[in-house]
Amino acid sequence: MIQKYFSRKIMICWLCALMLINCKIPFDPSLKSSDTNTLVVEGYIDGATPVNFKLSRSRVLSVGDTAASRNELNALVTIEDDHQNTYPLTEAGNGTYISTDILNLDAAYQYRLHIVTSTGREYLSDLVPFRQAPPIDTTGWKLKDGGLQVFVNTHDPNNTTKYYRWEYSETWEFHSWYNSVSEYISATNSVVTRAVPVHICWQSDHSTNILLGSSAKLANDVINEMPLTFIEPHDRKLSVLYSIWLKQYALDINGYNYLTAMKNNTEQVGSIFDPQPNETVGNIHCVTDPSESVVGYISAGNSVEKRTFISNSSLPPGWIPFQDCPQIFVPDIPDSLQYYFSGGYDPIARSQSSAGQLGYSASYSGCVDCTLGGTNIKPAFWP
Amino acid sequence: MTNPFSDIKMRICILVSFILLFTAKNVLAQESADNLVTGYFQGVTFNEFVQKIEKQTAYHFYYDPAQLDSVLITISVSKAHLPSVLDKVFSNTDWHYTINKENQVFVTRGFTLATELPYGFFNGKKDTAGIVTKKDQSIPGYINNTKRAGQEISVENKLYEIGIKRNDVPKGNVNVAGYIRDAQTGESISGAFIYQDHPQVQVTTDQFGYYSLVLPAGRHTISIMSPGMFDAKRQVMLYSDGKFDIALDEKVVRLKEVIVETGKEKNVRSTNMGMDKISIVAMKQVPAIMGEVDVLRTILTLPGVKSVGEASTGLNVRGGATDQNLILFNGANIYNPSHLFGFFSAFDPDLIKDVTLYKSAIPANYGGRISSVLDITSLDGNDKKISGSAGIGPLTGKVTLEGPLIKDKTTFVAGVRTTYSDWLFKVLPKEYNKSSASFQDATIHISHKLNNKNNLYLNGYLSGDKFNLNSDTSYAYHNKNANIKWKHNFNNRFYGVLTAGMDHYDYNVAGTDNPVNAYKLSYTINQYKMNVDFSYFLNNKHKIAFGLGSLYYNIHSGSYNPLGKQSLVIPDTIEAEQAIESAAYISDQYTITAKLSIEGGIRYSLYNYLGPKHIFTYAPGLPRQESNNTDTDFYPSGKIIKTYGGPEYRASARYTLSENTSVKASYNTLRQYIHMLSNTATISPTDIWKLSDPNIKPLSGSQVSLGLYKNFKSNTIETSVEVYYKWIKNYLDYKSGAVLIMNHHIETDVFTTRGKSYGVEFLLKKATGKLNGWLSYTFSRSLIRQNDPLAGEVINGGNYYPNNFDQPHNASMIGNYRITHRYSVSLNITYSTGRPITVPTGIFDYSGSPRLLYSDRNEYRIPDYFRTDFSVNMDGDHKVKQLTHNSWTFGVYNWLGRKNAYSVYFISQNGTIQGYKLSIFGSAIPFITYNIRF
Repeated sequence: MIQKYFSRKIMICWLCALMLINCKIPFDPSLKSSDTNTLVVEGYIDGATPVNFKLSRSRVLSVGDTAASRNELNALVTIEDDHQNTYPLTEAGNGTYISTDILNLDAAYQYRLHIVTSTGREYLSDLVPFRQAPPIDTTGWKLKDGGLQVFVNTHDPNNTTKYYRWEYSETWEFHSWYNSVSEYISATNSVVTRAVPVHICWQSDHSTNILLGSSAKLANDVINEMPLTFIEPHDRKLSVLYSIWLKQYALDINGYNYLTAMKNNTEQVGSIFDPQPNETVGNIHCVTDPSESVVGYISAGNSVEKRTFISNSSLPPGWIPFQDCPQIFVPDIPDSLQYYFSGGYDPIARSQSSAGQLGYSASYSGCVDCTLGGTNIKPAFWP
Repeated sequence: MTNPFSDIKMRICILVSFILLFTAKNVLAQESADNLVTGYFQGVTFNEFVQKIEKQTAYHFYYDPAQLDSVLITISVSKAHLPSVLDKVFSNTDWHYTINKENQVFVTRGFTLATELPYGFFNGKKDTAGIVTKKDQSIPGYINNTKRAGQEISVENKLYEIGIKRNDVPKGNVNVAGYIRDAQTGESISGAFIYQDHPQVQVTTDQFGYYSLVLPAGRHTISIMSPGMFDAKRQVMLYSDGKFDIALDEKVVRLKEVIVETGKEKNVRSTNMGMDKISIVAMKQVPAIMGEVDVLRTILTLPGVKSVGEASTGLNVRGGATDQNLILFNGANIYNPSHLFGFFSAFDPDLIKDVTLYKSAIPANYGGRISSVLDITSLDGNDKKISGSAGIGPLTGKVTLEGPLIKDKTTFVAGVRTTYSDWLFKVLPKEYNKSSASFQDATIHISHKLNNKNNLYLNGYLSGDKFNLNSDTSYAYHNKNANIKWKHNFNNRFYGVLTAGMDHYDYNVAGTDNPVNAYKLSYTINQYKMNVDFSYFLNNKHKIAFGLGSLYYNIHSGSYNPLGKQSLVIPDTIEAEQAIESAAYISDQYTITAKLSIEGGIRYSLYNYLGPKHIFTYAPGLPRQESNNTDTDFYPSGKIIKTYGGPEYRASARYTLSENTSVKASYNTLRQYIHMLSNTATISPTDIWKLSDPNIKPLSGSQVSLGLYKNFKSNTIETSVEVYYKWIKNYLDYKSGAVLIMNHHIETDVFTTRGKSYGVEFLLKKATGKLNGWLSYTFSRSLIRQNDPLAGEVINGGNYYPNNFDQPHNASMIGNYRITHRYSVSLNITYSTGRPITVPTGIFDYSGSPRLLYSDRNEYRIPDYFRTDFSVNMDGDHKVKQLTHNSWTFGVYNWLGRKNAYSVYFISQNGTIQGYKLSIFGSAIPFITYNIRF
């Protein structure tokens, strides 16, 4: 007897409430602070621009750290090549050591950095070959998610560079919301005609991320649309004219790997599949005590630079900064002037209220005085 | 199976033995439908009970109401024969009943009323139920089983004749063998206990549900015990060697609330140490994420098993890494057992029968991994009828079908599961909400009986995952497995299984965000294997297993290719790797006395790393770096490049101190020739498996463990304590900044470490009753050490440092309380110490930002993990005549909403350092499941 019948089970499941999966919250663990005093060496043995090295020391970890660098002062810093030439650097304050002029470095030689600190400890980097960076092809941009992605294109026709690093400094012109012609003088509690215009200003910033690129896996030594910085939609940076000054360095594979590890340790964490952060070893060694670790990797070569402008008019229309700038009326009464103009407001111009009272039109200081966010001195390179 | 009622003499024999129980009734088969009892009685008086039965049937009861007024009855039956109902009602009481031909029922106390000679005494017609009145063994709790009632309940009092009948009194020893199956579905039951107390004999069924038993010829009562099944007894008369299959009744109706149960005193009796077997029924009780029953997550609640976090189903068993577990699904080796980047395990729960984890005494037939064996078996398929189920969950939809293909010969079970989980990403944090993911898996298992001696089993498994995490990089991985098993019984005591199979795992990553750099990275493992395993039941004292097998590995360790016409990527392929791993083993389960039994085994494994391959040689005495590469040798195809091998010892012993107390000890050594390379703490989709080669030695591990097992309250409460110490050699860790993907000389980026781990595990389990569940606590450490400067880097000053998954304290509780038999509540509480992470020790400024200085590894721990889940299971009413049977489960995962840390990390953002805690399920996640079956 074959008894066959079909039984089915239908299972219906659903979620009765919206899941609120909260992933990332700021966290400040009480880590045991160890006494760190590691020497940090940053710089590039550059044959194309004056050399600039920065020496500092690591400091105790605290979350939200804003402490100033512990600069390493009074050290003797020298660039050496493998043909017994030395190029001493001059201390320029704040732990920087510079060459006053462009050094005439022979591209066929190998170079290293030699440091003797004020306490007499001696450090020496490995000898590294001199590498010529190819010229930057373009610094371009494209719209992405409403914002602007700035990228670099470059290539080396000789197929020898392969490992690249970039640093940039950006400058932008911006205008205050109102063009103020009046100025409050707190000493006399009065409003006078503005002497120095505060409508047009410039602001600068520099790269804070380690920017690396490699074409090692490609058939040609080409870097295509390597992202440099992302400008959020409606950012003031692009409200008038924006400029990025890009510096391109050639690295060797070890230098590239060293900086990649440093980048991974500090910039690329927080995903589900993170690699474990770890200690990375550079090419600078303490001669006095070989067990002492030093942060930094010395590379040498000719860097190249390129400045690019992006104008607001080249963007799709609508790139206007969002700013809350209500205009108010401040009567020309000493109490009112003092109350408003020493309390976050700045006058725009002489004005009259609808009731016929004399006074000043005014708005928040940030909407009037652009020098609160930048400088009104036009940079030399600005068109 | 012989027919016990084949001749009259036999029948007389039975009647003589039950002479006092003589009674008569109609043959069940002839009974009219009207005489069947259906109903749900809860706490009703005997009077009410009788009234209802008299309404439904032609029976009429005679009894003294005054005597029975204190009796309350709780029973649920469907179309049951009255005797079986009364058997249950009167079990463990001194009430007896008698039914005569006129359907008159006499209920008496302390004695049985004999009415007349039994039906079938004089005619030769089949009488399958010889008796009606009997003392059944106890049925725990109330009876809520509608299935058991449908089965003949009197089989336990039948006398089964085995062998060739003789007239003289049989002498000598006789062998009985057969299968233990589920009476309802025909599913074979592995791990069932068959025992007899005088003379004391005990055996367990193997993976096929097969047992073989040697007893003195003559009459015996054997008992059978298996988790989730009613205990059973069989009366056998042994004349000579023979076959005897036994069908057990399921204790739990599927889809209803579940009972966590172990093999009762099995934990005390068995020599198996550090072995946990969980049936799917028990798994379904554990409150699961999104209501998806999860095999691996249930295993994680067992003592000694951990994972690094909620996004990972990678198991760390007793301080072993996630690659040190042999995960077998119907004998197929599964390399990536997870779906959806580790949130779910890749096994469809509707197809799973049970899961066995071996964590200390690993039987000699297993090898190739050093920490544990996780053996997952699917159902065999119902051999009675075609049945199916379909389900829709918040994340998955699935269909399962099972049944006979050829009656009494072939059964199959097959299922597919797929997901539509993209909506999940909409509610995930911003970083993931542009992601997408999908996964599928499909399983098929066919078992075919060629004849009494030969069985064939066919298994197939496919799983695939595809996802991208908020970028233009997409990941995909697949498991594909197939194998065929041929089981041949040479005789009752000796059988062999020939297995041939192939296992495949691959992943690929495609990056398309930049057309010039667009690439596709692929990685593939293929392995082909052939094993032959024999089991020989020499006698009740010796059970011998031996076999040999070979496994051929072919690993395409990576290829990196351009994607699209504009791509300039240079195709790059890492040389494939080949190897053969062979092993031969023999083991003996030796019961020395009733109190002492040992199991000893030796496995010899031999590994040959084969060409074609280029091998780099490094200067001895110098750190292993590319710059110290002295030589590159090429080995042609098939040439043996390197051979590793050695014996592996497996020994365990059990000594019974008292009926419910025993001590066990075990010693194991194992070898592993394949390493998973991953510098993330979890199993990630781009992990690489690397074979041992001349530069990378195989892993080896050894473990000693000792345990004490004690059961209380007639084996309803089990307790155990196990301690272990483990040594691991040649475990790989990674140099700082190691590159693992597309690395042509990976040996320069890794170094070997020595590991040790130790711990103590406590387990308290209550298997039956209204309140059931388990409570476990583990203290354990897992440490590794790298102190060889030649390896490239000395880690943490050459001292032992904690492994990524070292979590010293770990406690969990799984509890289920049945309020009534329609309502039950489950609670799951988990606590563990946070896992170790490497934290920064200082800050420095570089490239315009403060950055972090790291030195010693794993010096800090993330905050402790604590989670509570609960669920309420609600069954619909138990009316039998209704269209659908339904049940509800609702619950909350992480109902305290604790933001448990998955990781803690520090990042340089906008010029400052910020610490973050990442939680995967950072709030309470409620779920409702509605089950309907029709």
